[in-house]
Amino acid sequence: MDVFKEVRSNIFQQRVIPSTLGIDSVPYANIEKVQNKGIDLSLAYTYTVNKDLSIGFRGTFTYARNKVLVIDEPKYPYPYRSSVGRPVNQLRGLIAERLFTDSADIAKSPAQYGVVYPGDIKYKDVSSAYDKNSLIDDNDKVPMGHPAVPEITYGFGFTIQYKKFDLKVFFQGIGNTSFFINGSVGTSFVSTKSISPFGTLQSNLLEAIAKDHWSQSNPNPYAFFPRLSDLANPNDYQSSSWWLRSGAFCRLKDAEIGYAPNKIVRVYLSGFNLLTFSKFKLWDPELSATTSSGNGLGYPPQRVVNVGIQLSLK
Amino acid sequence: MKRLLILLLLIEGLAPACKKYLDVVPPNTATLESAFNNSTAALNFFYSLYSYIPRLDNVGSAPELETTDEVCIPNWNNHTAKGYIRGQLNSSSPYWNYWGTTGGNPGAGMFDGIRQCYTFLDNIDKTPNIGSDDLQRMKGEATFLIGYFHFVLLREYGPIVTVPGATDLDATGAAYYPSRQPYDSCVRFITNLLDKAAAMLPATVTSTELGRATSVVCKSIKARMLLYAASPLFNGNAEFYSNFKNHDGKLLMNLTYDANKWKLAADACLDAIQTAQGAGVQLYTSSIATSDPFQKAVNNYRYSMVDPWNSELIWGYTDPQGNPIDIFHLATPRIQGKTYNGECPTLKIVETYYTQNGLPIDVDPSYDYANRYQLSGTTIKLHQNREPRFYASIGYDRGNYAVNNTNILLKMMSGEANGWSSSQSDFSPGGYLQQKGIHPASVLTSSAQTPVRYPWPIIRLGELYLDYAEALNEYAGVAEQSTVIQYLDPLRIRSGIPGVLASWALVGKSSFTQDEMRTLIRQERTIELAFEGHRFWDVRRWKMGDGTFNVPVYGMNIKGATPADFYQPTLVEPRIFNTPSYYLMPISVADLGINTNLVQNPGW
Repeated sequence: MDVFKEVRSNIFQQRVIPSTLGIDSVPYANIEKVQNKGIDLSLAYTYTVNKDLSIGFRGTFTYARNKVLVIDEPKYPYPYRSSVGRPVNQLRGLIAERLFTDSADIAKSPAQYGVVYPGDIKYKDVSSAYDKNSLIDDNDKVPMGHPAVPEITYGFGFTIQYKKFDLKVFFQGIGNTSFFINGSVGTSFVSTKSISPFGTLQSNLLEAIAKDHWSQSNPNPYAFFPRLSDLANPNDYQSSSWWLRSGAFCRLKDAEIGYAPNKIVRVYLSGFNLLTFSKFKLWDPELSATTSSGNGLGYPPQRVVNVGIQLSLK
Repeated sequence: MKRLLILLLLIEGLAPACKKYLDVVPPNTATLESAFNNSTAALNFFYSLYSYIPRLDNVGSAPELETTDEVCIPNWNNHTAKGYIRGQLNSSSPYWNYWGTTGGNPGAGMFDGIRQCYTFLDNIDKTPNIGSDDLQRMKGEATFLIGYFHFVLLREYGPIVTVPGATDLDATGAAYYPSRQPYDSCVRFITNLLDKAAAMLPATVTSTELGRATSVVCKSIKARMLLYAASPLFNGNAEFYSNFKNHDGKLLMNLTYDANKWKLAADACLDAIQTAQGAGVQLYTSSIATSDPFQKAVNNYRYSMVDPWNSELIWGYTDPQGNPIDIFHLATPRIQGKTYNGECPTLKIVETYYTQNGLPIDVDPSYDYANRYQLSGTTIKLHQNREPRFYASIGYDRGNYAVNNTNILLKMMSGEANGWSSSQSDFSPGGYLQQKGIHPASVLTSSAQTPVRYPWPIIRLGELYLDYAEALNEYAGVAEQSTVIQYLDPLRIRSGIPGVLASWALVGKSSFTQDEMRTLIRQERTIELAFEGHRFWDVRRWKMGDGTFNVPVYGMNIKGATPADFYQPTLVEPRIFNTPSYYLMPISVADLGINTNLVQNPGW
């Protein structure tokens, strides 16, 4: 077991300078300072009950939380925009309230990202407490969810040997992590890898979108997907709580059961990625664990089942 | 013992190196000094200054080509213009962000270009072996470019930050975080730069230097800028900008109309025209032999844009070749997957062109205006008896499209060669194709699509005539009307229509009020400079966005397969233009966050 706390300073970081200086390539400097603390546990235990039965347990657990102490950033008048005191991989997004219901609803709401229509996402104007304008923009993006990189990773498993049978099970999981359905990079809505059916490359419609999107016949302000449009709509693909999901999952990574009637032969059945427990159902949550593939269109982990005979010939 | 000695030597050898191990600059690393320590390197640096000029030929990085009521486009991939038309412009990732570089399309912001120019000016004196004439000229060009880059920002953002020199990176306070300057001070600042540059530059360049700035270029850009500055949007616009202030309360726009600004503009235009003519610039006429006066007129107008470095061009953007989304690829008749058949003039611009008598189609008594959508022969009356500029610019159903050294007969109805079909994403959304800007000798076959490259006209003499006519009419009104007409007529006669008075004599009109003349000049300007990227700025400065850019655009019914179905004016798309926000582009939220001395443009 390890308990740790470390502070790294002079981390290499790109400076934040005004455009009017006209610097083509923005310089870097050793500025950032980050504190990291956590706990690292690992446990292994084997126990022989009698000559027929032995059991073993094995587990690891890591929890690490970091916090930015110093960073070069603009002096925001909006306290929530500062990265200081927040995790390095903090997600930020707009607070989505619901979908717009009609044009009267739009007229009495703050201006959103460009011109919007019923069925587009309505965001909350957070910044108006600090500035005068009633307008949704990047200044309304607040820290939300857990960091993109999981704070908790764990794995555990056990083995049982009973007479001629053996059983091995291993679970793996992560926790305290979030992602935006389309990756935390908002532009992936218009990239080639997009769950939006009408992005750059017109692609097929995900079943979840087909079944539950806002339309005149389904004017549900909480539908899974906003109104469909024939081109990407920047208002709807902003990072926001609408698309925020928990990336936590636990999966039965590895399991094997074997039977050895004698010293020469052993018959076994084994499998990988057999079961996944996650609140997120659209696609394998492991595809969402990193920001780069938050759109679920990567190659998923495969479920593998093996049946085998093991021969020991001496 | 020997081993120990070697070890000791090693430690001794390493020790001093270790200390500064990370501080070593590798040899042969380029530094700023090496850019100026010989004349070749300095010349390379100098030419790179021109690379910051916004690309006018590229519909992706130029805001002005696909966003006006001149054209409409299908839902092409990544065409910013389509999002803009739909009102998706926002201050978090503004399109065409020439102020900074975040969120927008240009690869480099104008301030980057400005700093490079100042760096050049600050260092070029150190370079050996540059003749004093060359030195003077290069400095003049760098000075001009500083002015031009400021102008690019000025027309997009209104009041801007003016940069008087390369800011020290260790500067603090207002030098590091500058505020925006009042519009009129910006104009004065740029005028000074352009005047200074004009005095340093020759009026002409040799054939190996085409594209480099001359004194004529400086004066022409100044003329245009002063024309913009005298226009209603920027001259006494209390309606939009009475509360447009810096944080310290300083007004950023003038709120009282000043008629003398038109005089300044008119004087600058005349000066530019006279300097240009003195340098041999003249209206283009085609040298292609033809006995047909109509064809001659079509050629005169068509080639005035696409004939490379012709006599009318004052300053052109030299295309670095091979731009895959230029007008040629977007507009020419479809070759599957290669050219896109979709840059479509709107019905509005189609109807803006004059009749063959040089009159608006609803004025000319010999033109059957009421029945213009009626079939007559293979096409409709709207496409017949029009002025030569119409035929040189617009590709219409059953009309000729000049490319590949021949004429392609366009067939725009549903299911036809250039028409709409359900399986096609490359189609003209309104049943027309833009023809202006395409050199007829451009190769268009299924195996090769090679446009004849030409410098995109940034400014040409024809525009200066129109600039001058407009400024003079505003300033002097009817008193100088004959001079105004004197500058409109050469453009009309070059393109095969009678002069203003001769045309209007057909309806018995021999003089005009100032307002009538203004309308006439604006229509002339719209036609003459159509598709060249002027209307985007002109409609703004005329303060006519509301009613012009926010109304739906129409075309023909592309889903019609028969003439009766096809020739029906049909809605293509609604357009968004919010007043007053769309008159000036938003500065990105990121830039406003970094420099809190900046204020946002009204409405954003």
